[in-house]
Amino acid sequence: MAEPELSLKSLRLAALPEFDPPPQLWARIEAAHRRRRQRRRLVQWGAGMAAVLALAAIVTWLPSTPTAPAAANPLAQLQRQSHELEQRYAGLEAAAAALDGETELSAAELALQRAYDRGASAEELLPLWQQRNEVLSGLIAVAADGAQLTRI
Amino acid sequence: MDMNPPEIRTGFAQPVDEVTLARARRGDVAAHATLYRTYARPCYTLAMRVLGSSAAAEDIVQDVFLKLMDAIRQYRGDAPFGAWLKRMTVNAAIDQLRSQRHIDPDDPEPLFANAAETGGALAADAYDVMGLLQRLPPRARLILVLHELEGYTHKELAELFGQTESYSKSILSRSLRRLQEWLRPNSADVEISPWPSRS
Repeated sequence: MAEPELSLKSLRLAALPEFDPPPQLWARIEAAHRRRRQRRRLVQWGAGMAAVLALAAIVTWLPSTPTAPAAANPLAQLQRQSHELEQRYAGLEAAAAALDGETELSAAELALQRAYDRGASAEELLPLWQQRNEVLSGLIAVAADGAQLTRI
Repeated sequence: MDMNPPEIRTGFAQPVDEVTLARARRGDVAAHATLYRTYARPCYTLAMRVLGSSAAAEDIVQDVFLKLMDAIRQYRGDAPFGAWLKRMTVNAAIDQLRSQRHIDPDDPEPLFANAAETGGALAADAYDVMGLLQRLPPRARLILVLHELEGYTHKELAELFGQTESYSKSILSRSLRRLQEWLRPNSADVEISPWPSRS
């Protein structure tokens, strides 16, 4: 006959006791939980403050960077605009046909070159860059018309 | 009409109402206290049975309930709350045994080597079942408590220890045989009260 399978029940031991935790344990757990929450809040607050300080530093630092004044500097603005127009014009298929306009562009660029050579002030340079941009805008318009005509 | 009296569940099997759970998820301290009042005893008892020390058991209860207060937001109710908490308690107990390097080697043979050496004569507390339990190696005790008292299956134990089912079966069988050996000369005296039926 097979031996009956052993189990704690088959050993007929006395019932294992149950245990109650000490009464003050919950107070300790609650206190530890509170401390942990405070620590987390402190860390979160610290992280928030660090973010605010970093933002403030960026805001104060931005105007002193060399690239930042470009937005407020009309001469730099015109130069950037000029560069963009130049690229747009170069990308147009009919650009090569606008010969008369290009003479105007060369004249504007020559005037600019001379102004720089004599150390002209920003006030003097501004209208020259403005002129170059107008010529370029005109050329782009003419080239675009030409392209349309070609398509018709 | 159902004439059966409602089943009274104890230990980790005690139910907890949805409102308390919802409040606990929101971080309500009173709801946390309700959960503690319901489950602190089974949690502490399990830790005491496995670790055999009130200080270690208190640490387990503290760890488990602190973790509960954070992790309860992730509890979705897929398993009964008590089962979820029991798993947390078991994991905490295993972690503590590991940290004390009390998780014995995986091989069952060396696991029982030391227990065999101390198993000659029954100590003064031989009639104390807890005392007997504590004479088992920690991993063997853990497997015995989880299987025999907490209702873990061998499949669940295999997952818990990363071993095969036959591993926990072997440890359990050896543990029970060892207990039987320790009890044999005094078996008439040891039978103090009937084993309560497990629900």
